[in-house]
Amino acid sequence: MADLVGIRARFDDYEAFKQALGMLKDARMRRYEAFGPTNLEEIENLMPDKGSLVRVWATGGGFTGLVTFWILCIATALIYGLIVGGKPPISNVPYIIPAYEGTILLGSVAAFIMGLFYARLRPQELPPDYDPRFSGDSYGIVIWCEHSERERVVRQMNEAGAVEVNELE
Amino acid sequence: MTTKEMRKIDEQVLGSLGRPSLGYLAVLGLCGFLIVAGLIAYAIQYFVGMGVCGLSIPVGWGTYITNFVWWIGIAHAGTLISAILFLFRTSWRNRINRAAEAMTIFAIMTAGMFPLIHLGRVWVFYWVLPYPNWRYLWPNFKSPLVWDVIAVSTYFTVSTLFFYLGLIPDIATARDQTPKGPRQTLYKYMALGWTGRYEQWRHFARTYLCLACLVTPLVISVHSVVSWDFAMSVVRGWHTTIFAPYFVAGAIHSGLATVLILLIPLRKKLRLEELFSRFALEQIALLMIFTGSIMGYSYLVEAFMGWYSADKFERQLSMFRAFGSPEYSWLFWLMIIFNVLVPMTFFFKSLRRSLVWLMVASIMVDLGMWIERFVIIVPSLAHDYLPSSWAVYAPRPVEIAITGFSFGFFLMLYLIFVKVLPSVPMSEAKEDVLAKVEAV
Repeated sequence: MADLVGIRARFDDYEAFKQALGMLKDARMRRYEAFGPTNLEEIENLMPDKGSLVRVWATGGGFTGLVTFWILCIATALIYGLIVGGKPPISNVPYIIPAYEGTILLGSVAAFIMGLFYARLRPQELPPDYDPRFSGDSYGIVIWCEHSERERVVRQMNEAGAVEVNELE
Repeated sequence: MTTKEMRKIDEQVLGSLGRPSLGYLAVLGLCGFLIVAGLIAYAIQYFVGMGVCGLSIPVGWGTYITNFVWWIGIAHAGTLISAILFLFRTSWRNRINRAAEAMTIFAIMTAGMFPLIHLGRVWVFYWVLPYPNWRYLWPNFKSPLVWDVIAVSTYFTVSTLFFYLGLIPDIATARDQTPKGPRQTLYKYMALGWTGRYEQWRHFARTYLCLACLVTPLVISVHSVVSWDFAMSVVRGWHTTIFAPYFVAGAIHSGLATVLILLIPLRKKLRLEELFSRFALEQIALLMIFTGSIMGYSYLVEAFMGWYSADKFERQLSMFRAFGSPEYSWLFWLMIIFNVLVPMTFFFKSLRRSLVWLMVASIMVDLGMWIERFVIIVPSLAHDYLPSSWAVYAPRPVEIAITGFSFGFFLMLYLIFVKVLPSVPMSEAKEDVLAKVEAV
């Protein structure tokens, strides 16, 4: 990234922000980041990366919970396999309840942990390209481009309606 | 236009986290008093024994179990508003879901104490947990009481994760707009480096959706499992298939009433009238007509099943509850008035728009739902198969003080929450602003 230049544009208007992202997409830029105080899922088709594997992990976690809790019920019944009144120690119908709760428990825990992991959320210092106004009332785009593209990118951001465009140190 | 409105939302919500008023401190003091009184009562019960309660044979389950079921029920409306209405894309829940979710978590914490208090020998509570031990004894996973432990602890864990996840973007806003100090340090760690980057929103939104999808069946299952604590036993008035939906509807009914009880003073005292709109309160009142109707239907079906079963014990219990007991029958009719007739007043627009009536009616519904739990639990045990063992149960001072403790504990947690964390989901409120601009 040493020979790339970082440009940060700030927008007050959400439509202008989306328009600027559209311009970057049309210009086939690959290295840009969007910031905002509201859910940005809607701009997915304007961004280079899409989707999330969190739901796969949630499904995997849920399945693990189902199997684990069911096995727990069966295994613990067999450890003390006392037959009372002719009934077998294992009784699958009531085990549906712990297995069901286990599915939800491990599915949720897996989704939560992997969500934090993919979003790279952990106690940490804020990155230098971040502007605190992005969590308040402004939207932002940070673009990493060649020196030769710098002027064009700045012009595009201004044309789209950026209220502030500056170069990152 | 949008910037100005977004800034206003931040100012209103973060402004509510300021210095507490004298009234706030007075209520906190009252909570402290209730907590201390409850702790003293519990100490008496701990050292003297369960005999200080009104519990005896045949009424082994009384006020503590009533409180447990009632508090678990209170928790349900929070999940309904935050998860179920989220899946239905109901926009009016956007500004009140945080307050409702917090209520859920604190209500589960309060509820979770009651089985331990009721246990008597609380020091061996861990016997119900599945852990390897030298006796080769494990919990009986066929038992509804073990299901209950698993269901309630799962509910608490998942609700807490869901609550915290939703808080992260708002804590980041608070972090960026709070001056340096201990409060900002707390926000800094809790925000986990959130910057509102698209990458973060992308995974956040999917995770939030996954958790909402998972917590929705959970909320239905938890109160179903609680109802099976009763329905699985061969006790008249308990052993019925209607219990699971009946309990879930009742839980949501009481939870919605509690949301109103908390939101109405909160919006005034924290100056959040614009964010906690009257429209949202009105929608909750409309939902209560629906849940109140289910309650009315359930009461009718329960009585019908008692008669239609042709079981003499069932029939006599139905008659006993409604007419035959000077101790309990008035509670039965009060329950019907509070839970079914009072919410029907919300059919009148003027009444459901009156904050005073919403508050009064919600208090009546909550009281009615507590009475309902009591009427289900106690008279069924007090009037069992053997006339020779019939008895009358009434809560003793220790039980009343511990019940007061639960209110103090819940309210204290809630008061601390509204002064420490943003009680309105700011990012979702800002989405409303954007949606409004787009619609124009």
